[in-house]
Amino acid sequence: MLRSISVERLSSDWSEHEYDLAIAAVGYERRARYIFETYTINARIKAAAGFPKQQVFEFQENSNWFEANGFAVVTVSDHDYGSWLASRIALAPSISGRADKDSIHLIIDISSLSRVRIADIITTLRSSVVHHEIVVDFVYSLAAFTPPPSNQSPNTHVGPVSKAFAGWWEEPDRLLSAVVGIGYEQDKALGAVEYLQAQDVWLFQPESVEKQYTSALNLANEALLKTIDSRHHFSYRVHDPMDCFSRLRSLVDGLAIKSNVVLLPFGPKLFVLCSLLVAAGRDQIAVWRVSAQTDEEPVNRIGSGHCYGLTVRFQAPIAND
Amino acid sequence: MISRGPSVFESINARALTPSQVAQTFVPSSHFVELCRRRHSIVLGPRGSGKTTLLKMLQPAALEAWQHADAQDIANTIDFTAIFVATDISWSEQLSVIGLGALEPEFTQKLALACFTTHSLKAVVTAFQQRLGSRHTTVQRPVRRVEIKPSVEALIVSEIAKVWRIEGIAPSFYSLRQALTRRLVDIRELGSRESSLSTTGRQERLASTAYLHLPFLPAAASAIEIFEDALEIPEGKWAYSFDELELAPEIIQRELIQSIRSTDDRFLFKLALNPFTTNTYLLQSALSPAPGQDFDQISLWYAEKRVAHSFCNDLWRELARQSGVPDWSPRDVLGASYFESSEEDTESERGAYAPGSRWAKRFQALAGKDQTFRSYLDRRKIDLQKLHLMDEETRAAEVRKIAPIVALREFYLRGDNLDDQALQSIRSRKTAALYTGADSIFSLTEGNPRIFIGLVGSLLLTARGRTSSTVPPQIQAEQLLAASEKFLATLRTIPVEKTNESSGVGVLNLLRSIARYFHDDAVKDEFKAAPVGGFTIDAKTPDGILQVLGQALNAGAIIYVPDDEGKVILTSLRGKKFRLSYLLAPIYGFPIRMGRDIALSRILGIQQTSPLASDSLALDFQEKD
Repeated sequence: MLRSISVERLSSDWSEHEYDLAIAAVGYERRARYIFETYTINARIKAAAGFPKQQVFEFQENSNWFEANGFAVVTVSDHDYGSWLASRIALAPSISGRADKDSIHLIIDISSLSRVRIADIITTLRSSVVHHEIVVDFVYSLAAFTPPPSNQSPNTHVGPVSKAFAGWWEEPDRLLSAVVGIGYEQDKALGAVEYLQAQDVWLFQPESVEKQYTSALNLANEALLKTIDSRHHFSYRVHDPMDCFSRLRSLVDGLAIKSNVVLLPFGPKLFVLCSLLVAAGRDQIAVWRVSAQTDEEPVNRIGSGHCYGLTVRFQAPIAND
Repeated sequence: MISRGPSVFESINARALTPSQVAQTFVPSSHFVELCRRRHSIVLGPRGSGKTTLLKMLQPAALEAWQHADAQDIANTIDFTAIFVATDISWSEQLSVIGLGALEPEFTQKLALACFTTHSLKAVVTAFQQRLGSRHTTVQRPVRRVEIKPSVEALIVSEIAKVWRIEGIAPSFYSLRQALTRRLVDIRELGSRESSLSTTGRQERLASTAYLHLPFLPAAASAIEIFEDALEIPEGKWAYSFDELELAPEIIQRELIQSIRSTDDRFLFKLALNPFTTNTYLLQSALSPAPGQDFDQISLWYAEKRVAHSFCNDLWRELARQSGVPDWSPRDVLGASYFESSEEDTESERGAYAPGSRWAKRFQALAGKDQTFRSYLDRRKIDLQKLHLMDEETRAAEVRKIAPIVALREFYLRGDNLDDQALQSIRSRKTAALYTGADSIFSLTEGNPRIFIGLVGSLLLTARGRTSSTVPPQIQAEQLLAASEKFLATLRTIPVEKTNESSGVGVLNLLRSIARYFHDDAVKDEFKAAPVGGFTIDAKTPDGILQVLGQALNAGAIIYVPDDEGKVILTSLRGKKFRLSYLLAPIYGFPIRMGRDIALSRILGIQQTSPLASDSLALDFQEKD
């Protein structure tokens, strides 16, 4: 049985919590260790998973840092990531001494995770076999501005972010609505909308404390922005993911009454997280990604000093009588 | 931001429109007349070419609502009932992952087939409902209407429900549709449940679910027979119409293609497909039945731009009517093309080339800065002072033929030699202005209704908001450039399969290499009367590149120029001739006319015969558009 989800604001004292499990990503960007390096996170189990490809820039330094700071570091493929995470979660109640408690508490840094892995995290948490409620603080380090990549490698994947988020249309010939979180890669959102042949398009545009993103976003999406009615165009504050989640959910709830909905979360990973949380467990909503995958040009992003997040409760399954 | 009314995405895609909504703006083409014939048809066309609209317009509800001047005559020729089956890429993705990838492929395919069958049967019910019509709907003309009593509806539904393995529903067509919708949910749940169960016994469990094994066409045929018998109407033809057939499960595709050759005369099949497919069933089909004998091939593209202009003019009139503009001609609003003689010049053909005329100045200007053009003139013994004195035949052969190339070249060489800076400014509005004017804009749309409606529709709205009918070239250029960039964004998104032979080669960067070659041949290299404007895919082209070209063809970015009008289904691209979509011209600056064609391998700088290692492609595949 899959768990239901509730989403809350991340409390301001999140870094002082006692966690049962901390999950980090060993990526190639400096930002991958920013949160755990900046905050002293108290967690009984610490685990970090690296990517088998694109081990460039800070990958080795990140790996060394996590190892030196009490993380069990492994390199896992996307295919194995969900089962690796499930095994860490399964260990948490006993190792943390919470086997007889109601809930276990996780912190997961999504800053350097791929969309595929964030989706797998949601899927894994929803289907976790542990008996406890699982409370996860998803945290995110906003990157300092770097210009968008000048070269875009050809896409090798345009489709559902994972099988679990492919959605399911009860009426395949209904209107197709695309809800797009725009990013700053040139015309990527426009291309995705056109590829899907969506007839109804809604935009979510991030507003960030890193002001350079705003002009880059407007430039990269100029053609799309010109074609979208202002009533279909929302801004969201990257520093207020709860508000973003609420607005996204209420829009999608309304759209799903009479259309099939595909979410296209470009831009900050927090919007990816919000999209996945909105779609989780709802067949009439799909989440897609557009990616050159390992051909994408790596960029060594660094943390801007701003951290945000969401708390998500994956409620314990109700036992059958 | 100021509200701009409905998004273009809502107005130019027929997929989600009801039949009567499609009919409101439908402009018939010769393709539609062909499709209305009592024959099997395979409609081939790239994205946006109007496949969905054409198929939807065959439905009784669309024909009943259609108000065009030719509507009655065309509707009278249709003596079948169309059953429209839609699909789309997102649904196709869902069918491919039933059971979350945990089931064996044979079971995933079985469930996907059951879904598609269910969806197709639901379309049959929709067609029944359209035949019955609604007493409260005003129609232009009744089309194949039948009367029904409630008791007969109950009888039909209960009999069909038995055949389709549906139990416990109210005796109405509405309930029948709802039951089929629920069945789609049930199949999804079945897949999910099976994914968490042991494989042991799976075969038996699925075998015991009767509705999973409904044979697709016989199930539809039985329902039609029940419908006709109960209503005591003569046996009629039913045109099963499948949009985007390449997205359907392959077993369905095979069955439909094979059915075209069957002797069962209850069904006609109207199948819409991309121009290019690698599926072998079509290869077999293309080899076995002769197009024209077993089925009509209807290709929705125009290798020769002029052929599309008649349809473009019809679309213009309909758009003008919808936009509420007066009876302005395309020339009134968009003016003359940069590449043609202006109104005042054409008062007399001779005058167009007289000293001081626009064309004479262009020829003179180019001769003044282009040594290769001067050499060309010398070789051809053309005296620029005497262009107007030539006899008409000579002027047509020697002057008018090269005039568009002179105009393009003179534009790019104006002021300076073409250099990197000029290349960087290639996207400027100034460059796009080259392609403004009615004739050029019609050519750039390629007769593709979606592109035409998006581009020309917005230009007409601009015209409506102005005091004079004319839309200035700079405004046309802006909107032209926006349309081209939107097209580029789509091309950039198309995913490519990663192979050793095409590593790093996407649709867009491959096209850019070709487009730049065309530009350079027309503008930078030695002047020639017929620069390269097409390419033939030769034996040296690697297989990986072929796949990318196939996607470009299906996206409408390259246009097939058939040497044999009888064969337009392409199962192999090798040996075939293509040109680039003219919608790419405002970005890359190449002539919008059919030119010489050369081998693709020459354009791409490929030396050896395929297969070819990726690192030997002498291409600059950078994404910088």
